[in-house]
Amino acid sequence: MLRWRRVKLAAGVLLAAAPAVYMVAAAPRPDPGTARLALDAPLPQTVPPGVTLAVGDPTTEAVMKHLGWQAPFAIKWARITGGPAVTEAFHAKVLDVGLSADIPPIHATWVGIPVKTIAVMFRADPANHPLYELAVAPGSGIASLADLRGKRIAFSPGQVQGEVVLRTLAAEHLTKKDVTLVELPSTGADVYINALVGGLVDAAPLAPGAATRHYLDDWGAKGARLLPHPGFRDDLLNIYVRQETLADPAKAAALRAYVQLWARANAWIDAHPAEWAKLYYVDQEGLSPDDARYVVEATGRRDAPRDWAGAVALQQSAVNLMAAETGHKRFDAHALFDTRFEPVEAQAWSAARQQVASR
Amino acid sequence: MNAPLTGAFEIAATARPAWTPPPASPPARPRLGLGRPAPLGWLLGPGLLLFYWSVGSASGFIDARILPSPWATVATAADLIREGRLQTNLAVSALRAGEGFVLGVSAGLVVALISGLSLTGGYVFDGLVQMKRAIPTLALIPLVILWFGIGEVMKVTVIALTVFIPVYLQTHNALRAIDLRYVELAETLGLSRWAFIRSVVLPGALPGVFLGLRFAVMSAWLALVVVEQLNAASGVGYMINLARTYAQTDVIVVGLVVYALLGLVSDSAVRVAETRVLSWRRSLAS
Amino acid sequence: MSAVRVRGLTRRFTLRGVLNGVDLDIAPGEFVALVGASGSGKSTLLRALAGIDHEAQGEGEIAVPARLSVVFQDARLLPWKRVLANATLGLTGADVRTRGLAALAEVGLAGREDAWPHELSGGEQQRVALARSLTREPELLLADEPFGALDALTRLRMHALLKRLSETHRPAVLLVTHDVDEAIELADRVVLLEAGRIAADIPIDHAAPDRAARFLALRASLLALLGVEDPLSDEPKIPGPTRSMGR
Repeated sequence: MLRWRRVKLAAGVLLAAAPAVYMVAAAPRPDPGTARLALDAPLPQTVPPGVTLAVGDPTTEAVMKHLGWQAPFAIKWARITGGPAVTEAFHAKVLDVGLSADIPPIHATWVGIPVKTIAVMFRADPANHPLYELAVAPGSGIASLADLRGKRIAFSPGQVQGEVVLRTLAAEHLTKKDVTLVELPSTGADVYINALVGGLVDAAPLAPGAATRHYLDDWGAKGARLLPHPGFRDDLLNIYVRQETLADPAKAAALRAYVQLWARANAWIDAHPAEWAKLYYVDQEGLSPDDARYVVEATGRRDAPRDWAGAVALQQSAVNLMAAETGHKRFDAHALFDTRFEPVEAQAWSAARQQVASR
Repeated sequence: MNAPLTGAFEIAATARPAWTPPPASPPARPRLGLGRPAPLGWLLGPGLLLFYWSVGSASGFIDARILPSPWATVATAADLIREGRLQTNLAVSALRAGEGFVLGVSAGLVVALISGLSLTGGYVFDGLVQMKRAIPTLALIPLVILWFGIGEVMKVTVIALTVFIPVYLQTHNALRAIDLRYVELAETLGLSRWAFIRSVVLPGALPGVFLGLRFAVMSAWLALVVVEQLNAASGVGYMINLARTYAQTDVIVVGLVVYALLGLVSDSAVRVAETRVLSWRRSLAS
Repeated sequence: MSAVRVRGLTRRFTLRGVLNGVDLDIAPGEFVALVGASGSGKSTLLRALAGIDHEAQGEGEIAVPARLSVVFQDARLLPWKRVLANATLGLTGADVRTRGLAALAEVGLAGREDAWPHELSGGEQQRVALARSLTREPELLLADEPFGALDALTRLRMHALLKRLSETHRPAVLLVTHDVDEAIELADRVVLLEAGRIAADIPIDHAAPDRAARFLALRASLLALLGVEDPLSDEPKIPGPTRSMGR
């Protein structure tokens, strides 16, 4: 009788200890392992078979599916856009390629996820086609930017919206102490709009788009309006990846091919705005043709620079500004860019524009 | 006095056999039931979990990025408490949940009383509530946002709606399920309708009401978690949301632990209240 | 003038007739025992008199006093009220507590007024039910097999209690029972219900000098009417090993 109980106890302890032993044995060791591509080694030219990239780029996805383009690698499309979502996906290592404005790559570096930009894009005529404008809440009593003093402003330090707020305040000679910054990540089209309508904040940066337009239509009579921010560029678009993705030579080759596809898709969008409005905004996103046209016009044409000097300078200025405001350390913005892709992008764009023009 | 019993009933001293120790008793039958529970036995499950978590973190099997170690979580919690962020957000969350809970319970009790104590009341309300029950409250959130905005009113309303359903259902059922024998007793005693409700129906329904309250408490926290994920600028959910953008998994884990503790504490509070109020109950648990 | 008067009472539950024309009178202060086999309709008749048979259909004339109490086979104490509150359930007035305590003392439960029902034994709970039925000074006491769920020793004690209470308070009593011995011991009159009708109505004289023999004879005839073998009888019955207890 007693022996049986002892046997049961021993068996129980062994059973309980087994997973623990397994965990210790199976813990990952640092792997000297497979070939790693150094950051300054030349990019491989050919894409080996069996490579998959997880990409969060709905516009390229829409164009490629519409025109039936094939890629030399498997693409797993993800509907993940915008700084916070891409940061989270990078942290979980479920995304290879993300798109965002200027701040998220800087933010990612500061929270411990080293990234590299592999392509940049601007808007042609940024003064008339800003990425963000400052929307004010109905009944907030803000008629001009100077009225921001003492008001509550939505602030997202990990996104370009945060930079827009800070630069606007600086241009108006206001400091953080002159206003109340309400930290609120903009993780969806309606987050800031709901915050304005619900009285959570008095002002928030909004992108001129369909949702913003409806916000103004619904609440304009009660005092909602859009104020343009003082003249600084907010329109930098980054295509960026985790630094460790670039260490995989197969993925690095695939990324190179992806930049070419991306450039071609955007060149096509530039050349076919009406068709683009219908295929993406109307058919896929469900906007009315009127709203679709409005959005396409507000975005304007794309501008791919021949070199990245301007982009690097902009990012450095952003680093300096955000470092001061958020208490992080400054760093050299060159570290954000993988310059091996600079000529790749330039070539991709000129080839793409030629291809599109020849149609 | 009677003569003492003699004769055949008396055992003669000489006839008494010498006492010998009884033979070894046959072994008792093996026990099939569960046996006596150990006092702290319920700690085994959570203890094992903690053990595996610690071993996994210490050995590196668990990627610290994906799940921070227990000691890192405790350190983060200490930091958050030192900064005051945990307390402020916790207070906001608790207040929201509390308001929604009180509102939902009150509404649930009132409507259940109306529909449970009268047939007509039941015809009016029961069908409506069953319909509402089929639609998860969380799916109603977009509508609620349109009607109530995104401020505290909306959050408390969503929590109240989620709490209302279990309270109503359990109370209504308990009111309708009063033992027929007590109803007959009340009739033979000639109790007035009001005395019947006060002495028989309401106390008899109390166990069901408390069951509804325990479900309601769980629903309140569930609704709070969801509501704080969207459009919140304060509360534990907001703290978790921010942590997502900063890749601070440890803060997320602390937030989840806080939610779990809140749920446990409030459930225990309801159970303690139940034991006090229903002191007349002698149940299997005692 | 009778306390209870029933004429031509019929009751049926969905086609099955249970009472088929019952006539019954009970004088004030009279103790009547109603016996019958299972399914003979005893409980139905009692519930009809108590006015709680809402589901049954039937006709007939029933006249019962306004103040009546019912004692059920299960004590039916409200578990959420203490003993005293149960005993005084439904009473109003200034002296409710005194009356309750007095009733509890009468049934032998003095000092237990603050106990919860679940702390009492079955017999004690039934005593509280008796106390409850007496606190309102009823003119008619209806008892539906009140001691059927108790063990034999407790039952004997309860017989003595009921006898004493009925002699003190003198309500009219209708005791429904399947126990012939109980009926003969307690009642002034035994009524036998068979197939929904009164088949026998036998008065009992508790003062007669030869009552022991008469009780035995009555017992035998009641059992015979109920179709049950009498284990105390000397007479030969169905062939088989005969056993009889010594005199």
